[in-house]
Amino acid sequence: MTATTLQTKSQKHDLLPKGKQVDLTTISSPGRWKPEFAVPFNQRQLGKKILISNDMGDWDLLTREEFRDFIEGKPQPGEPLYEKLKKGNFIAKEVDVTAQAERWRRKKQYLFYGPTLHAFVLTHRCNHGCQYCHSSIVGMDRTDTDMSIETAERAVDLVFQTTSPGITIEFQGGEPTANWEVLQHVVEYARQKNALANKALSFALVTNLSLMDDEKMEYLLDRKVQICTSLDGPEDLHNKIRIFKDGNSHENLLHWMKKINARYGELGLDTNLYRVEALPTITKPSLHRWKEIVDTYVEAGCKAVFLRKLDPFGFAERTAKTLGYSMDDFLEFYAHAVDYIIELNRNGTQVMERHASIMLNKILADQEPNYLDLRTPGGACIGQLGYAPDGGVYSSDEGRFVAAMGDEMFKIGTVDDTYHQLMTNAQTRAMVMSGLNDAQPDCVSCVYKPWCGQQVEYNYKTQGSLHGHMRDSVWCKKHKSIFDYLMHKLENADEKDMEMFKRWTTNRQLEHFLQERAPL
Amino acid sequence: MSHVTHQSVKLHRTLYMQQAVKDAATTFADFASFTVKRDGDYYAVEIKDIDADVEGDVVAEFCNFALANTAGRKKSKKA
Amino acid sequence: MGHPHIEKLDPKTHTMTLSLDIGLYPADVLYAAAYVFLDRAYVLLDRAGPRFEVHLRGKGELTEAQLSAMSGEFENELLAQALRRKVVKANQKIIEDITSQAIAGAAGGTLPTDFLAAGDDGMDFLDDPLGIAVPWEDKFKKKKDA
Repeated sequence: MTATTLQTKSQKHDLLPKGKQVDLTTISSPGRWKPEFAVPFNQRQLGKKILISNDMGDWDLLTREEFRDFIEGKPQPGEPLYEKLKKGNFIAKEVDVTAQAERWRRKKQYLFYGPTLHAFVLTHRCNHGCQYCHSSIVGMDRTDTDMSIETAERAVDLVFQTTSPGITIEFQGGEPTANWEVLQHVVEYARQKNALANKALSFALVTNLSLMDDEKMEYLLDRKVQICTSLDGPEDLHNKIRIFKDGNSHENLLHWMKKINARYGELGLDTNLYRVEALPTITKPSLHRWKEIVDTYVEAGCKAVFLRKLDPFGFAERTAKTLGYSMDDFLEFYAHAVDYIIELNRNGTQVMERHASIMLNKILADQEPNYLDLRTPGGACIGQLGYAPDGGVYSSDEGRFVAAMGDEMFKIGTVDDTYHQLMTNAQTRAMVMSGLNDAQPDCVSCVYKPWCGQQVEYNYKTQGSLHGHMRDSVWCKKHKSIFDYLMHKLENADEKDMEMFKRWTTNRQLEHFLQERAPL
Repeated sequence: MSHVTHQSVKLHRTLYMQQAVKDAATTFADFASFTVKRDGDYYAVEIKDIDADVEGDVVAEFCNFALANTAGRKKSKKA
Repeated sequence: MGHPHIEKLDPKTHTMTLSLDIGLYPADVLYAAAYVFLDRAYVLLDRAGPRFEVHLRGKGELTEAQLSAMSGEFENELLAQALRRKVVKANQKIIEDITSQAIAGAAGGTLPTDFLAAGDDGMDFLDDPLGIAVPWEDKFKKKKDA
């Protein structure tokens, strides 16, 4: 009897080709296996080819016959298959342990230091009523929800205790510019501290741009604060979801994006690299509008679109009926949108999708971009920390979102604790251990293990435990499906497409946003 | 032989870890009350007061969780 | 390695029982294979004398052909997990050597050496002192809240 994978919705069309377990019952029998020939590997059937990968992040696509010969240890030195497998570090006796150790250390360097990303929630106040908002937002008069200068200073003191050589302080809210005085204070205080600490310090602001004015813009440009915003697509879609009673959110956003981008140019910066970063959140009304969303980003001059699925936190959960959709729906949207992005590139418009870029960086460029949601162990606590206005310290932004829903599971302490206490307490240990791919029954035998990762907050919120159950996790489904999609694209890519995918892996450092390291 | 009824299930002690079974019971505590006892080679799980408003098969889902938790715990200890 | 035997197959209740000799596959291979089916079936493992029994019930309706295909998939998954286990057993040391060498070379003074050590509380996370496994309401949403 041969193995047959039951068909699911996403398999019904070629838009999103889905991998499956290799049918070993018809390939080889256990008596013929030569397990000593290979390094530990995983496999997945993708179309007619079999994808294999190892823990070092090498991969190859084999024919059925090649795969059979591989598991039966038949290839001999000098034969094309042997040399191919040797090059890919799949033959046990050919692995150069020292070289691979060096490679592993380069890609896993994040394991050797503490959190880099520090999200400061400066206030819960916001003037937008976005239907999917994660945060527990309040009206603009509720200044009691602002982070105080004292709390902010204690948080900055804590940030500088990290063993990480790099620090990014990201301002979030509510609308963080509503607490402008504290934002400025954090920037100045951190710069002051860095005169001694001499770390690679940078700042990022996540803002809806509605409170922006020339004075604020010039301050942010002068202090090299990177600006990120939310753009959900064309005007009607954006304004329907991101409700702003005081004006036209979309119009205001594009006005400031254009103005700030122009200022980057005036400052002599490469405007292909230095731009306001914008991100869409995909809601149910967005699903059939993939082309318009991508076009809006291209027209706004963006070089990348990060197609993010609505997540299960905060208001997003409460409005699930009107805005929510299934993972299958998202994946179909994703494939349509990225197919369109690829088509645009073929016609000369350079734009990329961020998920794809992150994954291709790992797959094609052998880089580890340290994207916190896609690494092992995950980024909770040891990759990032979230600081609430009251001084609570959380495992991450998402940990704080869970808290905003009345569950303090991810609160690991306060700004009055020491760094050592936060990094070594029982909660932190549990989150790190739960975020290991090697500790997950399904991940351990997944072909995408070397490039994938988990978010313990997502596991907890959707499946009731930090560990979660990957087999019926939509997190797993999303990433596995996108990996399948990309692998299918790589398999069928012509020279021009490969050039494009490699371009998507180019990492140009945004050095301008790094604070001066010399004493002020 | 294990057998599932509406209100009881028997899980073989060589195949299910006690803590994994207890964790599964905790996960579903809002939807039913669970009592786990040793019964020879089995953990006998009594499931009472199953919330009639719950969509889904609580007992079957509980068993899946107990199995997944066991597999997870065994994997964690090896990792 | 031998085939699992179909003990029972009932499309009416979309259930199936497979059995396999205990000596054929180690328990961790059985767990790994069973885990793969948790998204589309309710799975119960049992022992009956010298055999493991695997009770499967589809989460949705399954025809006889689909149940039969699932049996084939289960066998295939057992093989895949067994192959992986054998390769890991033979050559996992290479991976361990790589990671050990990488960590030893990079640790220096920056590695928080006590990070994974149990702190003053002496707790093991597997003890679940934090009540990690809490009720989860997404899947088992109550009708009255809908």
